[in-house]
Amino acid sequence: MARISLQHVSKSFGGEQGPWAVKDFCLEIEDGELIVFVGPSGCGKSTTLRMIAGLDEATSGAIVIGGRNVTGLPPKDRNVAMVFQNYALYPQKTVYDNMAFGLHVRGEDKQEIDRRVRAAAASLDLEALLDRKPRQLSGGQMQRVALGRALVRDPDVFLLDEPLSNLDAKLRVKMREEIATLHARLRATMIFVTHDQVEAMTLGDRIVIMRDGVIQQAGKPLELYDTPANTFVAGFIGSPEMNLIDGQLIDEGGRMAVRSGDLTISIPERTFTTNEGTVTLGIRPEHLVIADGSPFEMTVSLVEQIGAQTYLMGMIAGHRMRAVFDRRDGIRSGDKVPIAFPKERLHLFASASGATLRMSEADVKEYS
Amino acid sequence: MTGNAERSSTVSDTRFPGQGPIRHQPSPQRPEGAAREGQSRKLFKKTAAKIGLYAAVIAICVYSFFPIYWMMISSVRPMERLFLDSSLVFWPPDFASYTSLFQQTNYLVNFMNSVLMAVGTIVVSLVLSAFIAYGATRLRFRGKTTLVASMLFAYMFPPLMLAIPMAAAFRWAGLTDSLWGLLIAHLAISLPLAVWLLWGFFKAMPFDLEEAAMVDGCSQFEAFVKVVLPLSAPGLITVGIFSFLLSWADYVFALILIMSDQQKTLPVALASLLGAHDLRWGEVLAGASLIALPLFVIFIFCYRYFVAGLSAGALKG
Repeated sequence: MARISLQHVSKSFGGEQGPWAVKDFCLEIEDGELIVFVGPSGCGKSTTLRMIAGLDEATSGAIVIGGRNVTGLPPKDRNVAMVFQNYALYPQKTVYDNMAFGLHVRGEDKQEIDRRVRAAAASLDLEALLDRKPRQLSGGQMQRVALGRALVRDPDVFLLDEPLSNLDAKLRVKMREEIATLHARLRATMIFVTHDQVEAMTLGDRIVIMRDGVIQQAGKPLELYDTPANTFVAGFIGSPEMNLIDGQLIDEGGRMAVRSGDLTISIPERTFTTNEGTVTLGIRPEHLVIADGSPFEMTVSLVEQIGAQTYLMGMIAGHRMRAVFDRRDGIRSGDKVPIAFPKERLHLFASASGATLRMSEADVKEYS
Repeated sequence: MTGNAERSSTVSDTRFPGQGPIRHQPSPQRPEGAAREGQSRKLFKKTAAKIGLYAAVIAICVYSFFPIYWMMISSVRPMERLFLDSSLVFWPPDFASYTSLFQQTNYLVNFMNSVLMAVGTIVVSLVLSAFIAYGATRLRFRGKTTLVASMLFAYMFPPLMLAIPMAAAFRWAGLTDSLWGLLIAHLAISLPLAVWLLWGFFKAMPFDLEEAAMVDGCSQFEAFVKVVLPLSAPGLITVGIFSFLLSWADYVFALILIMSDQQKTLPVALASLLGAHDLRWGEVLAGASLIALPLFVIFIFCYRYFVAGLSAGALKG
């Protein structure tokens, strides 16, 4: 197990001039941490993972694993294990040989190999499948074999490249739990790449959100949810997406508010820096509340019942918004629902850069 | 008439508001006899199609195999009856042509030459084409596809057109009348096709497998040898068979590049039996049968791989 330090790592497939697949990636990953890289396709998350594995060479920067600078080393000398999206099991080898291959190549003792393969197989419930070939396995079983192949090696780092995306929804949840259990048991350093924010939120000790090769925000799942660094993170984390309203910051009788068309929403004091003119106000659908007597009304255009919750889509003062409430049976399309915007749940971003205008705790203290 | 009366009684009425009754007419049943007739016609059509297909296959097989059969049967006819007897079955076989062939020619030497050329072509083609094709699929460089496609350029010319300049080049290089020269010539023909076939094969193989092997502890070379090559067995066997065929059955290059009897391969040695005044058809047919024999043996054992290798290359190449 090991710490990983990524220092100003960049990757360009077109030489020094770019375009950059990953740009100035800096991150310290603690020993035993499960870090999730998440972002839309093409954001550079897999490329970063491949650079850590040594499958892609970093154009610049340094990668340090367990205090050892591995930047120029081939994959075999990095002591990392990787689980691929399509499992990449050797089709001509049995499950046993697939798991034993890495140890054979490294010249381990035969008895030791056997002991480790059987131990890994037992922990992943693969004992009955050891003599089978990959084509005789289901998707979930193949995924477990791929995990087992990584496990027997006892590597410094586990790298998982979208390992669940080829599984059906039910199996994905099950495998997600298995990976979480595995991590809890091994306390191994793991890097998990996914484009699914639910996987990211549920699995990660910390999440790194990427876009266009650049880290947007890195932090604990709920930190990202509660205090997104920019509109991209705000939109990416949380489902349904955060409602974002472009407007002007105005002084309304000594109190700050955001005005957008007919909608004026006052914002809390001493939470945001207020020297921007054009801003984007954000509120998550699940933070809107139904409040009788509220000046805002949502004209409902779509009601989705998903069981425990009711999703609404509609217009509030000319702005299309989503809202999520605990189950409400009575609401119909066309109804007008009084909606309030709780102040403490609001987010404010600079329109131009998309960056949050939330003050840091230090700023808040200084301000008061 | 009774049938009609029964049918009309099964018509059901459904009344919709504002509409007249809608009649759901059951589809008229055909009399049993007509149904049976239709079925037997279908069966007849199916059988006829099958018979037609088999007849076509048999016709093609006869067309392809008859000359070979004729060659073999004639090689065991007594020499004096060669032009008198045209029976398709001949018993007992007479091996005089074979004995005469071995006595009159350096058959063993020529056979060994042919084997050397074939084995050399197979081994070198396999090794070189595997590396070249792998490099061409895995390395990034400009004009890769054009380069690989241009290797097939040599196939646009008749072999004779290649053999003559080759003879001139070999004279300059001191390889005239040398089996080394002939090996190079055979490789020049077999390699492009071998690279092309394996290129299609490697392209279809996911990169992930080698990457998994590299993360598991292999160098790229080890990943290629331990993971990619074993998975490419059908492609490698196809390349092996092709190389063997090209070298074993080559006549043109051996004719142009080899002069001395000691260096001749079987096809050329055999052709030299056909002198201007002396046509030894019995020996020629015996020799030709012997040349064909290994081809049959190999094809019988490897045709599955051969077909698999060809179709993989064709579909994904």
